[in-house]
Order: sequence, then C-alpha cells, then structure tokens
Amino acid sequence: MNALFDLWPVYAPVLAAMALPLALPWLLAASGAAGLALALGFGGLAARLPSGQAALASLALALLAGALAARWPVVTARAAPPWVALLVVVLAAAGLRALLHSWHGRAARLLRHDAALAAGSGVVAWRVELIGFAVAGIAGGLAGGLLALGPQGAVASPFAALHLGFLLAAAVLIGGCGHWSGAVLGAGLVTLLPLAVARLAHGSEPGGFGDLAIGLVLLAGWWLLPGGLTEADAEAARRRLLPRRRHPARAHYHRVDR
Amino acid sequence: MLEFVGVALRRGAQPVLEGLDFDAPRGRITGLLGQNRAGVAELVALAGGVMRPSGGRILLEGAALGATPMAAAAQGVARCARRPRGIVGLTVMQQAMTGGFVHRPGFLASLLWLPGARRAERALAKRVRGLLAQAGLAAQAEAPAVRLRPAEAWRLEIVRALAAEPRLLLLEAPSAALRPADCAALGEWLRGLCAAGLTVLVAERNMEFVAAQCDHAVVLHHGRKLAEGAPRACLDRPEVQEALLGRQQDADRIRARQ
Repeated sequence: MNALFDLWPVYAPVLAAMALPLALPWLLAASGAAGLALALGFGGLAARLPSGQAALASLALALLAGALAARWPVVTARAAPPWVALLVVVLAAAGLRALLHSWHGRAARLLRHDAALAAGSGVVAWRVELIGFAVAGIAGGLAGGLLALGPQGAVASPFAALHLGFLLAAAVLIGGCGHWSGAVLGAGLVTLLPLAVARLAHGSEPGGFGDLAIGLVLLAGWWLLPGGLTEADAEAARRRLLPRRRHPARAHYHRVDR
Repeated sequence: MLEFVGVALRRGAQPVLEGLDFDAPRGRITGLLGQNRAGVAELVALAGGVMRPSGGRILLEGAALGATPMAAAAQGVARCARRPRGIVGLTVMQQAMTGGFVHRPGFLASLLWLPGARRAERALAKRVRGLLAQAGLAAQAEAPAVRLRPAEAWRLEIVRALAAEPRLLLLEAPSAALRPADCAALGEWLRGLCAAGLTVLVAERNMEFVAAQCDHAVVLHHGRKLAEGAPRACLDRPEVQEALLGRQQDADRIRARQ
C-alpha cells in the first residue's frame, strides 16, 4: 500500500507547479519541497497507525488528491526539455542509492525483515518510516513537477489516480518490495502485459482485459511467490536448504507398524 | 553484570515471574533452563527491554536497564533472533553491518557522505570483517545471506549482534537448529568472546548444551527460580530433573502402558 501512498504526493506538487510562475529549477525544487511537506505531514500521522488503517488512509488520500487534481485545469502551458527529466531521474537514483547503502537503508531493510529484531538493534521504527515517507514525498514531488511539465500534462481524473495506484502497487508486489530490480521487473511486466493481451486480441481494444491479466498475475504471484519475482531465487535456496522431513508422529507410526 | 532483584512479571492477573533474584556474572555464559511456561522467554524479553517488569529491578552493571529495546541496545544489550535467517537482497557482509546501528552517524552526514560518516562506515566495515573472520564466514562475506546454512546463519546473527559492540549478548535456543558438532563450535566461540569481556545469557531447553557450554546455570519452574549455580551440579538435582524431564513415576507408568 506504500506504492499507493507514494502516488498522492505526486498530485499536490502538480497543482503547485501549475500555480507558481517560477523558473524551471525553482519549479522542480518547489515541487520536491511541497511533496516533502505533504509526505511529512501525512507520514507523521500514518507511521503511528496500524498497517491496515494506514493503508485505508492512503486510499482515502489517493482519492482526495485525485478529486482535487480533477478540479484543476489541465497543464500543458509549459514543457521541459527531455534531458531535464533524465537529469532529475539520474540525481534521484544516485540519492536513493546513497541512502540505500547508508545506515538508514540497512535499518529500513532490517525493519522490514523483523521489526522486533530491528528494535533490539536500536532502530527507532517511526523515525526510519518517517524518513522513508520524506524520501518518497520528495521523489513524488519531483515526479509531479515533471508530470506537470511533460507534453501530456497532468492526468485529471479521480479514478486515474486509483488506477495508477493499482498499477504501481501491482508492479511492486509482482516484482518484489525493497529491490530496484523488483520495481523494474514489475513495472516492465505491468506495462507489457496489457500490450500482450491486446496483441492476442488481434490489436483490438482489450477493454479492461489488461487489468484483468495483471490482477490474475498478482493473485498467482501471491500464491506461488509471495516475496515477488526477485525473491524467487531466495525462495528456491531456502527450499534447497530445508529438505522435507517426515512428520515425527508419522515416523513413529511407521516404526510401530513394523 | 546483569542483576535481577526481586523481579516479578504479571500478564493480567496471571503471574509469569515471581520474586526472581539472580546475577549473570560478567565474562561468563549463563544458561537459562526451563520448560513451557517456566518464564524463560519472558526473562530474555525483560533483559532485552522488550517487556517491563511488574515489580523489582533489573540492573546492568549497577544502572537500571532501559525500558525499551532501543534504550537497552544503547546501554550495550544485543539480542539475537530466535530463528536467524538471511535478509533477502543483502550479502552476508551487509547483513552483519545492520547490527552497527547504535554507532550510526547523523542522517544528513550519511546522505551527503561527509567525512565523519565515511569514517564511521569504514570503522564498522573493518570491525564486521574481523568478526566474520572470527566466525569463519570471511569466505562468504559477499555471498547472499539467504544462502547460508543454519549453523552459518547463527554465526552471522551473532556477528550482527556483536557489530554493536555490546556488553551483554542474549541468545534464545541456539542449539535447536544446530548439530552437536556445530553446538560445540558455537560454545567454543562464545567462550572466546567471553574471555574478551562479553557476558552471554542463553535461554535453552537443551540440557546437554547448557551442561557442556555454560559456566553458570539458572533453572526456572513456573516463574520461580528452582536452582542456580554450576550447570552440572544444578542438573544433577532431583527436583531440577523432575521439573525439566518429568516425574519418575510418570515415566514408569508410560513405560508400563507401552
């Protein structure tokens, strides 16, 4: 559900970017700052909620942000050259990589692995989660700014926000959380699957069958590979290391039978 | 070193631990023995700051133990996972470094890769590399942590805990997943660590492990201390054998039925 949450700060900076008559670097900085402020505000509250309630709060915010964005006029007044988007992506990737390999990245992974163990190692869960929200907010804000400056403008529909949220969540869950490769694999699959379905339907409009295919892959993934595609290797290694054992009670019955 | 003074723990109206007094001596391995509902797991949770006692005091080198796992970790208490396993996506070296959170540099220093953060990271990596060599895991340092066998996973978990430079190490049932030869090797390594000043508290059900590897034993029964002292002497006492293994007349009755 974090993916769904990460979606909504995108929309608020889109609104900000549309409203402010700023030069390009300042516009992007303002978008990032707006995303950060919104993420910290929501994250400060959501980090204290149980995961189910936090997910519902994320859903409510995604709807709210989508509804707000739908009431704003579509932005196509300005367009940034493509290299700006590339530069922002490279800088964001470098920053995220540095963060992932720092103590914060290790703490976040330990927290995801075992929250009790992380607490026993001195990791303060809410602080790590808040930093995670902040980083997601900045990335979302920058993405919102770029979206507003893109040639197609902002997606102005409350349901588009939910649909995009579903696709993001599906990509992360199918690929595997906590990995670059997982996000890339999942995004690739979620993008290509509807195209493949359309091709199977001889190029005609799939009419929602693409989403159906994604949903089915998502269900199959939960059943067969709950950790996502990137954990397939780890799952196989775990199975190799833990050979099937006969249940002790069954072994006893065999002995008695003989 | 770790002193329990009249410690009591209640769960609702139900007493879990009552009037517990004992001292885990510095630089020794203390084994905690007890059957189901003896209160051993709760005792380890109290020592790790996961639970708060309902009565009495817990002192670490004369100072009151922190009331949260984070505070206990800051005081030098490290707790190992009950069932150690590799973190998906991390190498052995990276997983071992997750234990060094207590000595982290500031967030911004870490993100901006400032000299102080670089120094702290290098020092942690050096310390962890030395510990991995001691644990016999130097060759696997860059291997995925999920590929380790149970004995190696235990060693990695101890290395992870030692990365925080603790004064007190808490272990729960290390012998459960290990072969006797691995138990002996683990005991030998722990004794080496104790010679360097570390204090180890091991919660175990395996009487052989406690007898062979521990310097000091405490036996709990229904939340009360039943025996304390040298492991062999404790385990030879009839009331201890009855508490841990059951009554002789029950064993005779079962044998007669068969």
